[in-house]
Amino acid sequence: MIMPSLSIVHFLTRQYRFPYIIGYDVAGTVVEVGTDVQTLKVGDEVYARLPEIHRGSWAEYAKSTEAFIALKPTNMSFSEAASLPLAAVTALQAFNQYSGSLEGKTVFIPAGRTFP
Amino acid sequence: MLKAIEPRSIDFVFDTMGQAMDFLPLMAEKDSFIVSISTLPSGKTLQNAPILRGATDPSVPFVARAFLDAGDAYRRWRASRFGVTYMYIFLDPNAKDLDKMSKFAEEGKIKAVVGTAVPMKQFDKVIEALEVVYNGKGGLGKTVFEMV
Repeated sequence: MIMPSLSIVHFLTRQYRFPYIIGYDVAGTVVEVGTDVQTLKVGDEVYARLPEIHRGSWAEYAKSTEAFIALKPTNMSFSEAASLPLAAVTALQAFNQYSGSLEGKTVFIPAGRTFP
Repeated sequence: MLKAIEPRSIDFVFDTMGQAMDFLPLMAEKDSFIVSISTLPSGKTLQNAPILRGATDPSVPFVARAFLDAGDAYRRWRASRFGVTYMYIFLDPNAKDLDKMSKFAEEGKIKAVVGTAVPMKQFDKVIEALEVVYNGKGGLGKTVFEMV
């Protein structure tokens, strides 16, 4: 079971090599691991933002090296977990650029949502 | 929006729209910071970007790199005149940060907002969902395709 989610990034990446399978974000159950894999096993419930070289989460199966895959939050469904990696980790890494704490500070994120 | 926010009142902007420079007058005079994912990277930042790492590892042409570096240097300079640190970043996908995210989720510090979940087999609905994202209007939260 694999659930890719959709992001505007898909429309910005233009590499016309076919077949071009789109999709970065994915959540699902591990069905197979390579012999050198240490952190994951078959049956683990995971999520990932696939690296460019393994892009293609809009599919029943996706593959990736283990450095990109983590166990999904236990309190989230696959759909919820699939919505996180690209957008949420980007935000996390943006906030991490700030040295010191942002607690009590004023943070502005334009276009946090779109309006009908 | 620029009028609605008090000048010199914001400490941190996460710019997802490429408007980083428009916000400079709003930024606090001390220790304020703008991180953008939607302006343009410097040539070096682009060359090192995970998105370029792949089977072919393309190198950014010299002219493009010089053009990007000039643009990036100009934006940093403009920001510095307001006392603001500005930088462009690319996502660096990795399991370590996802583990952090899982922990935040389990502690209830973040929650997922899934606006639309569509079974991949219902192709009409998939196309409809794609149109909403493409037009950038009307969607709330993430769009998820279910493969089961």
